[in-house]
Amino acid sequence: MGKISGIAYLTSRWIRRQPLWLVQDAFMIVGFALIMFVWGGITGLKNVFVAWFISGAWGMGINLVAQSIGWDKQHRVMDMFIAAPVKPWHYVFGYFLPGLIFVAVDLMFMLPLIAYLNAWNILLASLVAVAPLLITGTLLGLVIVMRIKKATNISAITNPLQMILVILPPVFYPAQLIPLNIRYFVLLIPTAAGAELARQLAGLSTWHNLWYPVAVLVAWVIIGILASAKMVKWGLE
Amino acid sequence: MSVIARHMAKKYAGKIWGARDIDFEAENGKITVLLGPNGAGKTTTVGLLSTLLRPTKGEALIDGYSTVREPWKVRERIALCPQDIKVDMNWTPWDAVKGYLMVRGYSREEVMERGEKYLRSMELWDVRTRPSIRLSGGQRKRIAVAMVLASGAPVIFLDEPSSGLDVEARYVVWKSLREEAKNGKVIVLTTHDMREAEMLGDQIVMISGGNSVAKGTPEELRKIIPYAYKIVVKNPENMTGRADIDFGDRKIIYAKTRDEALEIMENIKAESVALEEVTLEDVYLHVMGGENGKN
Repeated sequence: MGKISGIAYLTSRWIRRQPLWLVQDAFMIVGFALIMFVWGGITGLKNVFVAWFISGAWGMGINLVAQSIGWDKQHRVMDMFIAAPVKPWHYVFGYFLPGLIFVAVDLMFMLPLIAYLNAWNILLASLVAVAPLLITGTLLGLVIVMRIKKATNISAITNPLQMILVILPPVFYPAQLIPLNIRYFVLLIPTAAGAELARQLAGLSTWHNLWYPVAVLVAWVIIGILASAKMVKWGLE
Repeated sequence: MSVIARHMAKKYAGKIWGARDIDFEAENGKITVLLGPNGAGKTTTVGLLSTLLRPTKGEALIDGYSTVREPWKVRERIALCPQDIKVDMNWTPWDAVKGYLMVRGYSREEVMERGEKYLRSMELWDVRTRPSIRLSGGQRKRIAVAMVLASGAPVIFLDEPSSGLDVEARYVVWKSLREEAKNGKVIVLTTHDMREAEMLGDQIVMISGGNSVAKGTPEELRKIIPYAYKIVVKNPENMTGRADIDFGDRKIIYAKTRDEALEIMENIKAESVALEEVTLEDVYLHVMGGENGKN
């Protein structure tokens, strides 16, 4: 535990010294909630809860954790941890834990609304969908950043990957709007499958096909584990 | 405790050899300096010893444990300060040392005690709460050195620890390294700075083209070169004889004995003619066989 807390201590310094990132995050939540309420009323507001958790989990994995580790690798700080009694999972967890501060801030701002709307089922459903997305995002992000040779490509690759997979697929809008034959293809995208799983569990979707997003997410977790096991090397390269 | 490199070689992707035949042993209580020009294979050697790289041939043993077969046993015993490390701009010196000591398993009290000791030894105590973005390049480099020295690891690898440091900062690092060696640590560091090698090294391993080409104490290495003296000539007027090293208006001539040197000097007319004993730099040029080296 000391190893993880040591790495978490080091990796949380930037949040402590640059707290405005948390303020930005909080304003984004309020802003999106307002937009969704203005256009979609209470239903829109409920859907933004799901979308926010999904995009937050995906962003935390592929962007926050993986990108930070990518920079660590480029700056040779990772080499110090490889040449020390630190296991790869200590290291990844050490990066993962400080990221939860963002989740906590998101929750802090959402909780009054969730309580007001009595939308606890949405919160629980979203958290179920968030778990596989966090794992998949982190592992796939690691696979990408550990193979990047040029430092400037880290953000250039992971930022669009985070944004595109949240904005384009049905995350902020329901998958049931997409024709059924195309919907199956679209829901192969992990963020779309996560959002659909949360909506179905929370009763926000009129499409009842729970096994499909579950199967897709399980497959992505397996792909993430296999790809990272094969491609992410902890020294001895 | 010892570090043994047995005929290590490393071939990177693209069939580029980072090391071809590196063979030496480093003992506890001594500083072993890996000396060589840029691209000689020093960083690759440190990477092989510190479990970052897998040797293509040969092996490395740390305290008898193989870096390939027993990397976790090795990692418990080592600490590495990589070349060109950039500590996070948000870390203060205190953050960096505290976090790294937590990672290395020290208790809260030990972290406080060791943290203070090593930040003081690196002369960073007064700036311990200042984020590294507000520190000089030399201070940032010393943060990384403080981290590895504070780790208490019995084997410490430092890849060019004093590159980019000014004279005073370099002396601060040297002093701490000598103290750590005195306390029984095995210290292996790389440099291309002759003076650093001469000042710090109990043992010097010269590396060229991926091969360890010479090793020994500075005194032993000086005996490799078949000359004991060198004549440094400035602005020669009538020098028609040999010049072993030619810098245009500065020339160096080597001599086996003092008498031979004095005899050569009698026949030279120049702005200045100085007689010096050979140094590690002369050995280096001799061993490396560079453009101006005398083989």
